[in-house]
Amino acid sequence: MFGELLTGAIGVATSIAMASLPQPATGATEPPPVPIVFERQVRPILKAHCFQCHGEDGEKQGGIDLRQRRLMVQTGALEKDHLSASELLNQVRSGDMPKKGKPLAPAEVATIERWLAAGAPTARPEPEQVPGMFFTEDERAHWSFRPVAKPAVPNNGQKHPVDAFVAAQMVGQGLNFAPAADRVSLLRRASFDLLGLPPTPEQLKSFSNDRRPDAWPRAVDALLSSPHYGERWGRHWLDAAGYADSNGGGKDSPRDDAWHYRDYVIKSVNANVPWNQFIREQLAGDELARLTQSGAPEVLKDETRWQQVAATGFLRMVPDTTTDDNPDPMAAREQVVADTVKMVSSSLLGLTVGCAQCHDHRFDPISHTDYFRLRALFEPFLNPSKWRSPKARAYPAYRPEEDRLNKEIEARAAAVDKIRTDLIAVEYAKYLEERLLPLPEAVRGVVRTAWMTEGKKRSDEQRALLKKYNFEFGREDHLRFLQNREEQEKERVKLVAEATKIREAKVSRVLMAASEIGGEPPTTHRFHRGDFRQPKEAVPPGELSVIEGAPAIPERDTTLPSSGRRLAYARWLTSGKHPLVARVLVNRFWSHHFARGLAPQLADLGMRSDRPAQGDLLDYLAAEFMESGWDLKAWHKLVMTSRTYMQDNRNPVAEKKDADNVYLARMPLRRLDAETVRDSLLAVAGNLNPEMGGRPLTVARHPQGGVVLGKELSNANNNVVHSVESLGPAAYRRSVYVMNRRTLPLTVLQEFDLPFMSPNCAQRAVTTVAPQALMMLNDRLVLEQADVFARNVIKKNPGDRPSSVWVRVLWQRAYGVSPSAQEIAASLSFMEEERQRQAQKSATAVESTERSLAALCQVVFASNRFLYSP
Amino acid sequence: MNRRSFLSQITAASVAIPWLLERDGLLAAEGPVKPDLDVTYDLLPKPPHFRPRAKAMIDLFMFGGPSQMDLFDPKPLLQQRNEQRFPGKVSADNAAGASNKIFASQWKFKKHGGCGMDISELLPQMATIVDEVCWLRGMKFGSNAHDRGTYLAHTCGLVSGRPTLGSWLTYGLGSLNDGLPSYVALTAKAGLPVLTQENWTAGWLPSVYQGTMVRSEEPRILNLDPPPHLAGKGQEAQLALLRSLNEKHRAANPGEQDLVARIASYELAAKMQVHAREAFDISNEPAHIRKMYGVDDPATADWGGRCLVARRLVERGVRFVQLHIAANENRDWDNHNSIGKNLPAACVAVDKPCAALIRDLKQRGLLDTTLVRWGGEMGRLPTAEATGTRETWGRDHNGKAGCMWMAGAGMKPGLVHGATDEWGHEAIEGIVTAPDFHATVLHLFGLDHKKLTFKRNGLVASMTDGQPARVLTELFT
Repeated sequence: MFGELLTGAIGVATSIAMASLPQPATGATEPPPVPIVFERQVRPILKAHCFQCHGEDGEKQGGIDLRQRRLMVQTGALEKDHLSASELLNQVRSGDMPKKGKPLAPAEVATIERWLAAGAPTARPEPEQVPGMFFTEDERAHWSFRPVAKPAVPNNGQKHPVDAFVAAQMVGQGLNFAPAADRVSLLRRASFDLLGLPPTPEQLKSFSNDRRPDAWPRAVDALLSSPHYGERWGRHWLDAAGYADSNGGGKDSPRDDAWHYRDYVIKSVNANVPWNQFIREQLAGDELARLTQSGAPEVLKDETRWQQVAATGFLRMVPDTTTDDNPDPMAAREQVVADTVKMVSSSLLGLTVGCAQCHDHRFDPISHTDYFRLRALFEPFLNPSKWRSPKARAYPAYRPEEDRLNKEIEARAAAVDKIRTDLIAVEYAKYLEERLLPLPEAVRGVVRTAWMTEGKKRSDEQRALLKKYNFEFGREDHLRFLQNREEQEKERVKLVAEATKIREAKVSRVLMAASEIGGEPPTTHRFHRGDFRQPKEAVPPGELSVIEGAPAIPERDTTLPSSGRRLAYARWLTSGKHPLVARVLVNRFWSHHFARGLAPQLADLGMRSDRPAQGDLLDYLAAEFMESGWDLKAWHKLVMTSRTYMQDNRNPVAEKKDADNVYLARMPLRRLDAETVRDSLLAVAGNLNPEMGGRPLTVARHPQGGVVLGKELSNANNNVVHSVESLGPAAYRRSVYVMNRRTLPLTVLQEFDLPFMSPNCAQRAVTTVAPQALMMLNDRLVLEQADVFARNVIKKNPGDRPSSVWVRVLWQRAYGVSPSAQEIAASLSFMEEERQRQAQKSATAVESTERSLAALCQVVFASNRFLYSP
Repeated sequence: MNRRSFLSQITAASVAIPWLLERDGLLAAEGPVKPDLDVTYDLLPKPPHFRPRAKAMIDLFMFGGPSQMDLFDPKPLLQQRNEQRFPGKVSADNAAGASNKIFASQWKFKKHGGCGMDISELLPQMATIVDEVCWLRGMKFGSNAHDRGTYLAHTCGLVSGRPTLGSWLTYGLGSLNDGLPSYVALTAKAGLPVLTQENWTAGWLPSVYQGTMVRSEEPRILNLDPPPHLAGKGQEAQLALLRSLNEKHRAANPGEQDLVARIASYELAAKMQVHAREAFDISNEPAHIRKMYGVDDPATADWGGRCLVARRLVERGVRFVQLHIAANENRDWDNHNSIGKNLPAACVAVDKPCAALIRDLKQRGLLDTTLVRWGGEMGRLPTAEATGTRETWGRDHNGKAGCMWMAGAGMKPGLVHGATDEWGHEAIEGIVTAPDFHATVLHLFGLDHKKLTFKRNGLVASMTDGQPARVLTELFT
């Protein structure tokens, strides 16, 4: 329904006036006089107000075409020998044109006048052929569309290239770097950044005591080699890909096999798979593996190719409601295609390509046809006219031994199922007799027979009989409605859980993957106004036209079993020559270290995104990234060893002059994101279960509201949850393994801005609201982890009165430092008061002490010092 | 509460805070402007620029673009020329699949009330409040894309990242209540709206001014209950220690405004534990009130419950309440297809609750000081989005016309203002642009849209940010 969300355009009339809105209209200075030419000053005005009726998409109302000076003369809009009397000027000056929308602003009319007075010059001779969409030099010259040229490092005495670029921008702003951060802050910062967890006291100690000159790069290396690194940076990429364990839409049915893609991402990031390979695999792993429908089992026997196919789960993450009951099935399929284009373009191109789905992009040089060129890359595998349901796109890849194992497991589970069904049968049989007993002996037989007869087959007499004797209870698959069967019901619940647990041991090797069925790829048509019911001319696959140097994409690569389109495109994207991909990635990486990107809009580097103040730095880092072989770990190390990264949070001058921290003269505090808040609670409590990978941890609607980890025990319709069964130690695994059911976000994550994947998330929101505070004060998980902390710490450091040792352990784990004398004193008196209160409330001595420490631990969890990365 | 007591309340709260004076001084400032690190951004009541009419606002946000010619703006010409070719051209900037076929409304209109406002049979309840409401047929926010239209409706700008109206109001005026957020977003049962948190973001205003999202069912706010063993003194002691730790941390990081907001969030959270349950609890509302809002009817329960909550919040001094439609459900106004089926469904969900809200506010004397807005981000086209059979026809987006109404807080009741052309295609009279709308709302709250400014990175920014904006005084009593 909201496919057009980003695809519509603003009203023409307002586009010019509002396009510059992000910069308030104050302090504007007169630009230096630039020679007026058609392309630079005039065409943008006409494009916004006039092209839609006079030139674009075959529209030439009144025969007028305004796309070129040449065409204006040809079609009579310009009076060649008497320019100032031209119809163009008359029409806009009088307000007769544009017919629809607001008249041109006086300044715009004045610009046209000025241009005509200057002789209506063009910047260069105009081409004879007007392509589908005509880009101006300014559009082609937009910074992010130009090839990445590695800028020379400014020679300003800074040893580190990143610092040299940053320092160069500080000149003239009266800014300088903040002093270096202390070692504890530095390691905490790095650990949150790279692992999403606070450092352990041992890690801190070893780093603080490491007096070698390269102690810091060693510390960074150590963090980069932790398997938690992949969980953290994999999660960042999963946002961009829109990873979800459900299909979206109103029904939001579960997706059982999406997690293989999540594990592929985490594994690849941990293995530091070069990002060019990583991207190629995700866009075209099936083509790399030469996957075919019939040859799949053979292909998937090979581990490398298995991984490549798993990688294409990337292209299957967008919502797919095509198996739901849709009023318009074709529209649902088309939505999948549109979402795929949107997800790929926002994550890899950093452009709002989706805006060109219905017409030329209103701001960016992306034509309507361009949109369909990109679509043609994905159409062979999605192919709405020969749609395959998500199930039909899944690839089981069991090895014979796995098949055998799964069958064995199923047999064991079935045996437990049998015990359960027998139990139910026996209890019902007994219950029936209990109920029959009070009845007159004569009717017992007929009532029994009536009850045992299947509902549909009962005769009218039988029904009447059952009604008469109040025997209308049915046979359920549980024992909840039977009197005096609590024990048996408990046993039944246990058996259900047991069977489920047994089945969980089954190996899952079913991949959500992109694949093509081979043969002639479907023809992609441009859809008039984006409406799939109005196909127009055929459009071949290709890159956005504004991007220069792109190779031709084959319609059909005959050396492959598939069309080869995505593979060719992926190779181009990762060729090192693509202007956007590395910039987009590096900008996003940067934002995960510094809270904002060098270009602040991570998913829109188009015309509305001016070259950022740190544009040279961005280009340098993009170039460096590609030259290093798309090596992200090396990139982290480069950035993290800079003074820019290592500086302190405080810089009073910068705080005053540069509140948005554009010039990077300090490291801003950053609120931990949703997953890091939860994972850090678990880590500080000493309760984090480091198990990696596998099926997602199930989420459940809690009867008291909110979504928690666990298994729902619900009624037959699944709409009333009675209780939630714990997941045991699995409930303390990292948040990246929590099931991402779009409509059931885990509450503790949602409160801290877990994104809703629709279809993906290119940039997270960060909010600060009271429900977060309520969560830190009252949520089950927070209280539970504080308790766990208290129990564990007291066990190791026993005592029946609050101890400063406990305070030290807490401070060390949560803040990485020892508490001050004042903090110890305040904490001890807080705990002692609490202990006494608890003792008065009839808690046992042990409980009272534990609760007092837990209460303190909770305060620390809730504190800003804990919730913000230094 | 009547107007007089409200005004006296404002005056009482209007401590002469140097803040405002300083802000006024800013307008004359030259050169790059520096942010105020020494200014504390809080929710204490602030004096407005001039005498306000409104104290609170309820924004009934009808995402999707309600169809003006099927609801509030009958166009006989569409009936006469049904399915003929539309002369001229429908706005070329429409999004998807427009045909040139004129598409008549399928619903009957009748004049209602003393003002004689035409209301479609789809909205029988709204028809009963026509004389309380100021009808705006000249809405023209200018964008026909959902996202940009929504940005315009909430932030007055076209791009993401700007502060929303509720943020500007709480920034400018502070909060009038002590135990609830001053800016509340009431989300739908089916989930978050399109653009999620951006609908109530503070943008680049300090984060203390962002909206707080509230669930549509009980518990509407989670985690309101302290754990039994810490309730009372235990948690008070926790909050006291937390405050001292946080203040120390904040003193060490004066450049970080978010820390202030978080400290404030704990204070608010503590008070919410006391007040919020009662404020959000509609179970004790009398039966006739529940019935009036349709709380117990599945068709209206979600909107009805939330409208009732909105009234309760306004009664308790909440400044800005917004009701949203879920992105995930099909009960919205974006009727591209099957409008014959989908529009009535969208109407049923909100008609009764919205009408009840106005009546209820009025009977409690709250309508004098509460501004209510009903409307979306755009309207729809007079032509058909003609795909499939006639049953599946719908209407496409239209940024040039729409329909909305405002009520209360000195908006002229029963005024039918503005007009579209004979097709309902474009607003031609009494035009209300997004900047006009926002300047007008701020004005009702006693704020001058040019003077309510915020300094950021060397610039002075405001809600309208230099766009032409007119306070629509002709709509005021």
